[in-house]
Amino acid sequence: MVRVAALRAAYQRLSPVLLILVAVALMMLGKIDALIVDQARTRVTDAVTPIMEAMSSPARSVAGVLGNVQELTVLREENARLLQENAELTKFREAAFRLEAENLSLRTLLNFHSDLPHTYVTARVVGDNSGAFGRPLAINLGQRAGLRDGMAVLGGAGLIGRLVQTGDWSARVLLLTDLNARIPVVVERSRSRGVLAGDNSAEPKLVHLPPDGDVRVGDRIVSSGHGGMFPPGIPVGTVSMIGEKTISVAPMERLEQVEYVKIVDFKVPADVQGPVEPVMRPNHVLQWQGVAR
Amino acid sequence: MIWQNLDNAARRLIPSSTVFLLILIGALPVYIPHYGAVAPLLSLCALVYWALARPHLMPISIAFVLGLIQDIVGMSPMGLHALLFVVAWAMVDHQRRFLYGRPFVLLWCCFCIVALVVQILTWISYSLYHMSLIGIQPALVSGLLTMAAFPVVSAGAMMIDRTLVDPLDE
Repeated sequence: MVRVAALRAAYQRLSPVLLILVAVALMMLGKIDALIVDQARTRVTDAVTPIMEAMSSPARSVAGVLGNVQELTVLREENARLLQENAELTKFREAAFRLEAENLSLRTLLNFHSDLPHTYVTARVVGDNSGAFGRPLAINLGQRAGLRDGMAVLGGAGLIGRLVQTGDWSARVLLLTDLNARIPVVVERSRSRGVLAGDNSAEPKLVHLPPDGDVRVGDRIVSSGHGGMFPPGIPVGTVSMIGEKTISVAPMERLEQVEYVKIVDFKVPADVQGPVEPVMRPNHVLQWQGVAR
Repeated sequence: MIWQNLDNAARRLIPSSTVFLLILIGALPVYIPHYGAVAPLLSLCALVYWALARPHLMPISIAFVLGLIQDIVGMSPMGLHALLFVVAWAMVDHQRRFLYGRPFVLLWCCFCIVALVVQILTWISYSLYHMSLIGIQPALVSGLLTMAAFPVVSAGAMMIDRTLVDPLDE
């Protein structure tokens, strides 16, 4: 009896140290063999996603009301801005129709075969795992909807990240601002290749540009398609600042405010059901034309 | 008798359930620009409250498990919050006698120190985990917001404590 009491006292004294050691060991295990930890994580995420989905509804309603009030205050300026934007877009639409017709006739002439059309599914963001360091989104679809790790995830305006830890009923989106995110990109204007590297700040950095790479503030950055992870030509962001050592890129999408995401399957498996959308690749067509000439 | 036992068991689970609920609430999308980077660690507030008020219902092993759940739901490196919650629990445990019966302001000051230590530890752990020096500002802002959230969370926890957990002592 005395021995049991002594053991219990020893455990109580040592338990903080023991548990700290176990926690550190777990972190090291996760770093060395991420697969075991990821599998465990995916199972639990699958279980808690329905709860989070139910809980996120009131949060979305409150955000909606706040958003409406915010919109009302800037309605007049917004209207003027939209009218101006509409006038500009009308000009672009005319140009797009003309270029589309020209593209079609040139493709026919060259017997050019476009990329395979890709499929996509739309999912709802149910979790924004807030924290000072990295914040992957949680979405309400998983492998049962045909999703797989590595698929490109788009918002309304452009690329926001890729899928990681896809469970049966849920998945996580590694945002392009995450410290672990590396996306092969190309500067749309100059075709200089580089890599967009997340650094946990709001604006990821453009790295590994060639020494003669041509980049200016305001340049659009699109995915290059190298590595086969993402389709080429997806808008990623615009160059916001060029410093002495770093080039910052502002993402196309306001990552904090994404409610729905589009998951694109580049490789077109048979099991994904969804509408088919052709890939627009004007720059690659232009390159083809350049080679042909 | 069975119902009474079940009732008591359910009441014993209340402290850990509130921390679990705050872990989930902390992971919900908020749609406020830049909020995500500096979001407060709400679960830490509840954990510290229960570790002080009901240590027998919030033992260190439960704090460890809740930390693991925080890691899974929050997608942080597995074991990180388990480590942080155990450290926070140990700090509170160390000061329990000193804090017993003292005014709330003193308790809050103690929590502020715990939150600061937790955020600095988070920053060190992340920097080591990713083998690169990460900016500390978001962690400090998150720490300040966590400190500000403590009175609100602990007021809620106190209410739950008085209405639901107290009958256990009768």
